[in-house]
This record gives sequence, C-alpha cells and structure tokens, in this order.
Amino acid sequence: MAKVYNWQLGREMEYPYAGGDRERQFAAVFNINRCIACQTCTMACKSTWTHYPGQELMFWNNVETKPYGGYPRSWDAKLLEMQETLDPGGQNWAGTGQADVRSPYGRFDGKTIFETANGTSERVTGYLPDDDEWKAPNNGEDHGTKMGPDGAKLPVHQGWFFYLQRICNHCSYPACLAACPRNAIYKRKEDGIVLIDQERCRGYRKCVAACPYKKSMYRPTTRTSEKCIACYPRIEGQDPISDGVPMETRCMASCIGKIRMQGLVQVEADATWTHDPRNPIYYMVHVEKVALPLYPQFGTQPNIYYIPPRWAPREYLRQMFGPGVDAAIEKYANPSRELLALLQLFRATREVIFAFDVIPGPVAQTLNVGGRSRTIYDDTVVGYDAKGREVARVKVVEPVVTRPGSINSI
Amino acid sequence: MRTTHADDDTRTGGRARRWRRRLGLVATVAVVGAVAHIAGFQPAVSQLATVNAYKADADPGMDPSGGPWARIPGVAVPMTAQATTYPFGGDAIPAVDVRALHYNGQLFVRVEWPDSSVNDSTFGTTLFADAAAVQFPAATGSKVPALCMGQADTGVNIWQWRADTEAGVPQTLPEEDPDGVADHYPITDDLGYPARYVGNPFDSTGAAQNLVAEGFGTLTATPEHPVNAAGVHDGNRWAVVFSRAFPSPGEGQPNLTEGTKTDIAVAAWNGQHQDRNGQKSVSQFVSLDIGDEPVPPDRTPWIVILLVGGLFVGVIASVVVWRITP
Amino acid sequence: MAEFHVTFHPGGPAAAAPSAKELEAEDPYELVGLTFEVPPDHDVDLLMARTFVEEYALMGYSRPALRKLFETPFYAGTHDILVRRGPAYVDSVLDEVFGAEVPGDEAGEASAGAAPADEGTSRG
Repeated sequence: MAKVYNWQLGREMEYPYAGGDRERQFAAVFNINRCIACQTCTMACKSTWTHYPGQELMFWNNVETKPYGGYPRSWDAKLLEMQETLDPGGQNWAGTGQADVRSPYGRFDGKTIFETANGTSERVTGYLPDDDEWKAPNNGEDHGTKMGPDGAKLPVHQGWFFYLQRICNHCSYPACLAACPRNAIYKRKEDGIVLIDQERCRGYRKCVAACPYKKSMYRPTTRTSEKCIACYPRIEGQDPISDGVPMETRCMASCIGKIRMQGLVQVEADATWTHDPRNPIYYMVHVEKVALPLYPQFGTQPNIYYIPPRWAPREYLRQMFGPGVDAAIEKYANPSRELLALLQLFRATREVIFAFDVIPGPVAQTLNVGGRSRTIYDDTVVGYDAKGREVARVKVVEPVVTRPGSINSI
Repeated sequence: MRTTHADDDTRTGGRARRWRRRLGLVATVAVVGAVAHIAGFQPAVSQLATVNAYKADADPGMDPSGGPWARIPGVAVPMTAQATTYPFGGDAIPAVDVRALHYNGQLFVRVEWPDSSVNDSTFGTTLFADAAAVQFPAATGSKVPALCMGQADTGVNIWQWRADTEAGVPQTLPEEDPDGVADHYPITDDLGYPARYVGNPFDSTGAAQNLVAEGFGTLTATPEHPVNAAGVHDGNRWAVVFSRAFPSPGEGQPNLTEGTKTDIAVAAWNGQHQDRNGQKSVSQFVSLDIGDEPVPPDRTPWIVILLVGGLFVGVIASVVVWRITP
Repeated sequence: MAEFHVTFHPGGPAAAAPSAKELEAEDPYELVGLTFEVPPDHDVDLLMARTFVEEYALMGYSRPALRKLFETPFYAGTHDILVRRGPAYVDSVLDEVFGAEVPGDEAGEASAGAAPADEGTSRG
C-alpha cells in the first residue's frame, strides 16, 4: 500500500498505487435541487452506449430516488453498514473546514474502503450485487402503488425525498482500478477518465464488487465488465461539431432541467486542484464550496459534485455529502451575486466551459431570502471554451413569455 | 443513519481472523520458497512428486473418461488456497488427480477433482465457472519460475479450461433464459461488443486458452490457440484433458519432446464458491517427466476371464463338494 | 395516503388493461425500498414551498407567476402543498419572500420590487 493524499478527507490515506501523472480531471456539478427525474440523461446514455444484447440491466447513468431507491438496490446503505461493522463507531469527521484546497471539509478520521480491507482477502471492501438487485434503476416514491383493472395509482408525496443523479465518478483513487487483479483498468492523465481495457478484462468482477458507487457492471454476453466511459470521444473534442474543443457528455448535454455542468479541472501531482477560480467547477467546489462529493468517506475521491437538496434532513445529507452540507446549503439558498449568475450557465452550451465572467447588470428585484433582505441583479454571465472563445452568454433573470390560454397547447 | 437493510455479504471480524490463520500457514511455505528463490537455489525440477507422461500407442482423443487414462496411475497433488497475492482465496478443492501421456508428438494432461456442482454458466453477475489450469515454466531446463505467474526473467505458460467457455456464450437474454424477454435490439454489430471487437479471448467459444505471464497482472492470452481442452462431469467429479503439440508455438511457451523433464503446477476453481482469478486452489510445482515408458496394456479382458473362470471353477467345486459329501 | 387516480387509455375498449397484482414477497421483481423516519421537527411542506418560491424568485419570477405554480394542478409538487395546507399557508410563504401582498394588486408588479420591464416579454 502506498500513501496518497485525499483532499476530500483532508489527510493521507492508503491506496495500492502511488499517484501517477495527472494533468486534468473530468469533473461535474449536479444541482440536486433542480432535478425532476425525467430520465432524459439516462436514456441519452442508454441509447448511445448500452442498448446491445447483454446490457439490458446496464445503466451507466441512472437517477434514483433517495432514500427509498437505489441502483443496484440499497447499494449505499449496504456499504455504509459494512464500513460501520468493520470500523465500529469510527466513521467520523473531525476538525472544521478551512479555506484550503487541501482540507475544505475538515478531516475524516474513519477508515476508507481501502483501509477497512486491511487483513482481509481483498484490496477493497465491497460486495457483488446479484442480478435481481439491478432490476429497478429508478425505484422510488414516484412508482405506482397499485396496478388494477381501472389503472394505476400514483402516490402523493408527503415525506421528504430527492433525486440522486449518478454516473461513474471517475474517481481520483478509483476502487475499481485498485481491485482489478488484471491491471485492466486505467486512469488517463489527460482527463482523469477511468476506463476498462476490454482486451485485458477477464470478467472477474472484482471492480463490480469494489466500486462503492456500483458503476462498473458485468456483461454476460462478452464475459467482461463495462463502465461509463465519460463519452471520451466528446471530451477529446473528436466530435466534428465541437470544432476540436471538449464537449459535454451525452447525459450532461441532454439535461432538460439544467442541473448539470461539466468541466475539466487542472490537478496537481497529489490530485489536489490547481487554483483556477475562473473555472466554473473549481469556483463552485473550492471557492463557494456549494457542491460536495458523494460519500467522500469511502475514500475514492469522487469527481461528481452535488449541490445538496435544501429541504432534506441534514443528518441524512451529512452522511451522504460530508460535513460541508450545512455551509453548502447556506451558500446555495442565498447565493452570492457571482454564484447566482453562474447557476444560469448550466446547460447554456454543449461545449465544456473552461472559464466564466460575470458582467454586472441592473437591479432586478428585492427579496427576503433565508430570512435576510437581498437584492437580485440581472447580471450577465459569459462562458468560454477550451480555446478561450465565448460559447455562452445568459442573464440572471429568466425571460418568461406568457401565451394566451387559447393557443397554450403543445 | 442506521440502515434498515441487513446484508449477508458483510465481512466480519471472524472471517478476517480465519484468514490471518490461513495466511500464517501458507506464508511459511511462501517465505521458504522466496528465500530459496533469492538465494539462487533453483532445483532443476521440484521434488514433491513426479507425474510420468506415458507413451501411448493409440490416439487417446480428448475424452477424459475412457481409453488409456484408466490404465495409468494418477498422482494425487495436494492443493491449497492461493495466498500470495490479492485477491486471496479458494480452498474448495483439497487435491487433484493428475495423469499425463503423449502420443505422436502431442502431450496430453488429465486433471480430475471432486466437485459436486456443475457451474458452466457465467450469464449472471454472481455466476462463476468451474475451471482448471496447468502451468509450465516458459522454457524447459531453466530455473523454476515463481509459482504464481512467474517473474520478469522467467515466465510461465498456462493452459486454462473453463466450463462456461466450453459450453458456449449465449448471445441474448432470451437465448439464456426462455422466459426472458427483450423488446428490441436496434443494432447488433460488433462495435457494440467492445470486448469482441478487440479480440478478447473470453468472447470466443473455445474451451481452452493459452496464456503467458511474467509476474502478477501480466497474464495475457496468445492470439493463437494451440491448446485443446475438454471436460466431463460425472455427477461428482470433473475430469479435464488438455493437449498441445510438442513444438513451442511461440515465445514464452515450452518446447517439449520425448525425454523432456520439466515442471507442472495445477490450479482449479470451484464456481459454486465464486472462485475466480486469484481465488483458486493451487498446487506447488511437481515434476513432469515425458518418458518412453508405454501405457500399461489393457488387462481388462484377462481380469474378466479370470473372474468368470474363477467363479465357474468355484461353482463346479462347490457342486462337487456338495455331491461327494455324505 | 391521498392518491391521484390515473387511468390508462389503451388502444381498444378492453384491450391491454393492466392486470391486478398483489404484493408477492418472493417475487424477485417486487420492488424493495428503504424507508426513513421523517424527523419530528422537519416541516417538509415549508421547506419544499420555500425551495420552490426562492428558486424561481432568484431567477426573477414574480409573485403572481409563483402563485400560479401552486394553483395549477399540473404542477403536482407545489399544488399538493396548496391542497394540503390551504391558500393562506402558501400566501404566508410568498409573503416571507416577496413581502406582504398589496390587496387588489392584480399584476403583482408592485410587490416584485424594482423589477425592470423586459422589452417584448411579460415576466408573469
């Protein structure tokens, strides 16, 4: 085991491999508050990559309802319970967050999934779900409660819940890569995308068991495991319409709720992020700290960052996103002028945005938000692609057109 | 949060302790081996046991259940759980019976082991196949490579048989499960099977793979398929025959001939126990002697004649004794 | 639990009516979920209502436009809150964010602060 630095945990941790060359890291921010679980992302992915025989239960992108659902069933609750069993009472955070890219959420004192595997027959703590567990990719409160001769009944929500959008986290310290006895999984230095070499894979499913997010999946018709490839031809700028600059993945570009923004961030050798506040992902994760990693305590340093839902019980959210939840919700519910503008840049273009600027605008309205009076400005936000060209320009105030009822029809 | 879901896959401290005990045991063997290795103490062949490859006078074919195999003695080779590298595991198979013969420039190795369950489908995330493999040093007469996958300067050649690849690959869900329903597959070209597209050996339907390795994680299938294998399950045991022509098919694979003395190690996987890759039962290297001793002749007819004759004489004698007894 | 009633409209009169199915614990396709207790002091309706109102208000939506989100039954999330808690409850949430409503203010522009008029569009 080597020692590597995990900034999400604010400490060094054990990992089978020392850090390699790193240049850029695939990362994204998902705003849970705005997701309506339409599954357009899911179908964009499915219809691009996984519609072949043997991939029937395979959803590289899925949106599940929390806390009720999971794909595969109870994936997170199961691993949390295993970790608690192997590290009784130890899964705790200590210290407070600092304005520091090396420990923004304090320090995690518990054991990661690599550390709880010490002394066992495996490199990573995990489990292999059976096929039944993959059969309900969005099992949630929205599911019909009863089918009858008269039709289906849908529940009316009374409890709290939220939708969790999930793809491969292209972790900085991937558990799949750590567990593969074949050296068939690799992480690319140019964008941090984690891939399974389909020539070397021998279908041992160690990656399926090890991935805490269960985003490596077994395909019986080729007897190999497959996973989200982050639409790498698009990230490489190979798509003819992108003019050679990185383009967002299919799931991101298809999001009609405008909840997703994807980016590529510069990283240092120790996998911390290079200071770059003009990069929208860097800005949200490290400047505003409004977007948080999913289950950082597992220790893989995942790279999809979530703006937590402001209405869900905090204790549940703290377990899911770490101790940065309260500050993140505070920042989100009453956003800075810059963040409010940046939130409008989500899904404004299909090109990956490498930098953004905010141009001040006039006062729009005055509100009481979070119990405080504040002024909303109709600022303009501009996004730039990898070549520094302007690719998006939008305003804070959403234009609204009210059509007469007589023609209000789709 | 306290979850409401109990999980039976959870590893407990008890299992970890068991592992440590097991590791302690096998670690001793590994340390002795490693010290001998570093010290340059390289026996020409290992001394635990010798498997003689008898010279057959007729083609034995690939059927493990018949012909000359019953006439040559089996060598019982003990197996232990693999405990040198992650992932450890696999102690379901205590010993294998190894026999070998050669015919017309072709080596045949037969491996038999107890396994009451047939696991010949991997069409499911938690399904793993029964399998067996034999391993040879990449070159005969050189020093003995490290048992597990060899090392950089001394590689190994592995012939692997898997029950699922011998059974063939179901191509669709309905093909595997008659109750399975798939609405529609819009495209089914090879591009949608990346493993097939790049020539992954598991996407072929051959029963045997020929692999070379020079250390952990380097195991690679050769593009050619010089090895044959066939397995038969009799209800309680698997028996598998491997065969390959004597001349080396390429780099990292031994050149064999009558008179070759080399080593052979065996690994076996029990799919029922989710054995795969390092989770397997393994033997040490034992000697393999490709000699000129013929396969003992088939004495079955003589035994039958003797038995029938003895019975006949016995009956006659009893009758005579009964008649003459007052 | 209150339930919406949704009727399928298949192709023909008796065609393809969904079959009735009771829960079968052994059915591998039966849905299995995790449930959690809602903490006693957790007012979901208030948190959800504030989320809806503030999310849209921050993007320049006016009070009347937001009130419509609660009134229209097709916006299930907001409408449920109106049905469950009543119009006064919704107004109190709107009051908190926009300030108290001026009675008889049809357009609602007065309560929307110093919103500049957008050329060619009407924001609500």
